[in-house]
Amino acid sequence: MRVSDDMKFVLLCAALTLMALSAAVLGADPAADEIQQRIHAGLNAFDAAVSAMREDPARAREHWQDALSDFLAVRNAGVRSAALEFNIGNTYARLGDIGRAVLHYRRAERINPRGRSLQINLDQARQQVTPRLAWPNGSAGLFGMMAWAERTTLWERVFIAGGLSLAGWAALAIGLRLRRSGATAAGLVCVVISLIVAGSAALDLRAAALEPPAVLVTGDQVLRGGRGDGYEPVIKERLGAGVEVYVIDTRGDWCEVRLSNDICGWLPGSALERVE
Amino acid sequence: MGSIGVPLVRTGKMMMRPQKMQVRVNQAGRLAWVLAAMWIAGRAYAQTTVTIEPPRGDVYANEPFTINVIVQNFTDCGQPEFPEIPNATIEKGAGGESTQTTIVNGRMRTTRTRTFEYRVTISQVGELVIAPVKIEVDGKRLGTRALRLDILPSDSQERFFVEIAGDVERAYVGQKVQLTLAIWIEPATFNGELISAGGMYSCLQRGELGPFAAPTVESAVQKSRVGRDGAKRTYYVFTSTNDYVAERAGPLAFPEIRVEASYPTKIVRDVFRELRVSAARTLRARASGPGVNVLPLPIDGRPANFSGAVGRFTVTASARPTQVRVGDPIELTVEVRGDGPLDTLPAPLLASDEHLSKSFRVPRETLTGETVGRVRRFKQTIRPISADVRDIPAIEYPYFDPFDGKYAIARTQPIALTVTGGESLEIAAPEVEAPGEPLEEIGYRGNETSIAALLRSVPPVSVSHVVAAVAGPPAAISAFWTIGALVKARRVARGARRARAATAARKRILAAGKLAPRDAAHEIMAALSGYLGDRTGQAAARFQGRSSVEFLRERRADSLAVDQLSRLIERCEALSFGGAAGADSAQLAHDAAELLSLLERESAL
Repeated sequence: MRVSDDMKFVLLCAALTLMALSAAVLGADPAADEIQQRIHAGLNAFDAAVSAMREDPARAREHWQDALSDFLAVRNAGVRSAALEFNIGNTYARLGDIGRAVLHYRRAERINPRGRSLQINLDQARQQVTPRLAWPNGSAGLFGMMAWAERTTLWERVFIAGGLSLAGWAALAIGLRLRRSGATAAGLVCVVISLIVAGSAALDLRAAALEPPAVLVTGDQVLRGGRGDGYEPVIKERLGAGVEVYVIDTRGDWCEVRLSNDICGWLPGSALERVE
Repeated sequence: MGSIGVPLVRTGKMMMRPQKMQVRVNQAGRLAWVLAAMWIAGRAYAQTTVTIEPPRGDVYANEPFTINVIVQNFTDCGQPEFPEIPNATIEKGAGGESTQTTIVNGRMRTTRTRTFEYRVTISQVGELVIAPVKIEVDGKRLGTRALRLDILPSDSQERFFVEIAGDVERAYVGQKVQLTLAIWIEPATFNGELISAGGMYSCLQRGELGPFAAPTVESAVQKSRVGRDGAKRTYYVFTSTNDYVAERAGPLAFPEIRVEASYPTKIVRDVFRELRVSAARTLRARASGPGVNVLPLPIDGRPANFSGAVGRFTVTASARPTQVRVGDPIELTVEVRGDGPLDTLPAPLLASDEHLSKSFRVPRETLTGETVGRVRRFKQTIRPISADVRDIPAIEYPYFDPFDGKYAIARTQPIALTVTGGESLEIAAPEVEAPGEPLEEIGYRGNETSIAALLRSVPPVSVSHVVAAVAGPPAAISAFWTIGALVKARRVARGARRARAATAARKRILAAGKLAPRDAAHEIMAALSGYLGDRTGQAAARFQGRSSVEFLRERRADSLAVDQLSRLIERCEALSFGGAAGADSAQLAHDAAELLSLLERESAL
């Protein structure tokens, strides 16, 4: 069977497009043996800590420190999974570091907001945070108010938007070519929904870029009216580790933050860690 | 030798020669003896030997002693066959191997020595003869000499023993009992004086002390006791006291406890005037006692929420905060004080407390607790389930009082609470668990253990991903559509050119028939190359002259058409470049038209 030059060109274009998409979506595989060994070691150390918790709390704490060291080593190797962030949050929670526990639970939530155990543990950690403010929503703006947007990851929204866009434009093209009004209408609906979904993801990304969410990892902080210890406190209560904020501005060693109740003030940048 | 030579110098010359000769003979003889001795020693040094080394000092019944079998100067050696000894136990020790390398006159010699160690304990008093130990060395079967030993009756139980004593004679399971481990050792003497307690303490060796810590030298006291032989003996007693909680009923015993002592049998004073043990015997002792009978806890009168605490206890409670909303967590701290074993004290069963569970949501997980000084502290998070709750009721902590022999209940004081309901704009009221979810699930959930899930790395999403998702599909569809349209247009254009190829060529050939022969030949060649170009969608210039013939051959066209084309081109070229005499343009055009008909039917084009 002879393949014409035109067909070769079309096939080449398709192959290059597929390769580019695969490389962008899949990325590198980090499942090296060492990483798996560290994960096993971390899980075993965590189990050992739970076993020793009742009899020997000091030894249990040592095991949790070991587990944390292993999990963080895996994270430092480039693994960014919701499950790993969840386990790191669990370990910090057991060690009593509620600030970092909330931070890693939020990171896990950002990757996969539908984890039931994650929500329970995040709620548990938040209850130990003082003062207890209303908790921030995962999404912002008009689309953020939609429940489905809060329950889907950004990647899921990107894929949904891409799929709907492809189906919509294809239907639109067929409808226009064959003069089928049904296909044209269906195509238009798909394209519009795709734009809404993509808009939701874009707004979330914009909100995260303008006011990146962060967590107070060092407790007993005073929210001040300016960037310096000489400024008056904005609120009387001191902020404990685990308080969730949005970073409005960063100047030098200080960050201007907005609390979930829209009170703004300045905090030392070293006391904060960004969710992403 | 020098002392011999000195008087010779003082003798006269005449006497000098025979005396010198005598001396030389003596010297040569002595040198020969020395060389012979060295040769024998060297042979002996190089010869493989197997020896048995008897124990140092006296040997006592029921006390282990060590016998070494030593093999020297060997290359390969097997395991010794230690003979059976009636009424004895033989344990193989670690042994060892050493290598010695010497260089004499540039010749290197390596000597290997391997020592096999045997610890023998024999129960029979009297003479013991150990038969020669056989061993395979460098392919030869060698043996030691027989070893004869006198086994003396042991007095170790008089010199060294271990006792355990309790502060009570009767205890209950779970009750804390104070036990004292006492190691009794009779001090050795040197010139009629007792060795110090520190000196005898250093004789105590490895052993298993069970729940007890090793006694310290400071714990030593000197005591006297009448021995089995009726004589009054003096001892140093090293003690260690520990609290012990019996876990099962029955007589309390510690069979695992055993202590060893390297008891000095010969003491000397060294060059530094310090006493040094030059010979010792190994004494072993197992613990006796403590004579405490452990009773099981009675069934009668046991409270339903009894968790296993044994002793006498008081309990207090505190809560924080005391002003809460419905569902808010309250940290309840229960502190237990008493004389029971605090570190292993069981937690109060708060979830089983009906009064508490009626007003509060109480997790069922077992509390861990921590010991702070003389207090065991338990913390639990409880949540009021309605705004009607006014206090945390008295919390019960049942225990068994071993001194009264019956169960009792310690109670805390109620803690007043202010519980309000309603929504809060400032404070979020989280739903921790779904309706109907079991209470056990309150608290932190466990880890994710799936390796696949843990490794499922997700790269961050950027705006370009979103743009690509939305704009990518229409761009791709447009591109494919455009490419398709271009391909189609190209195909249509090629088809049209192909369709009009024959007509155009026929028209040109017909017109050429009316021209002069030379011009007609040019025009016919141009018409044919134009026709082939149109048919194949390529440039006409590619088919100028004989290249069109080669092209048709490559395409495996019909040979008749190829030959006809070849002849026609030859005729046209002849007319173009040679003379045109006698040529007929109309005939040439006719032949070209026939060739065109043939090419029209050609499928290779």
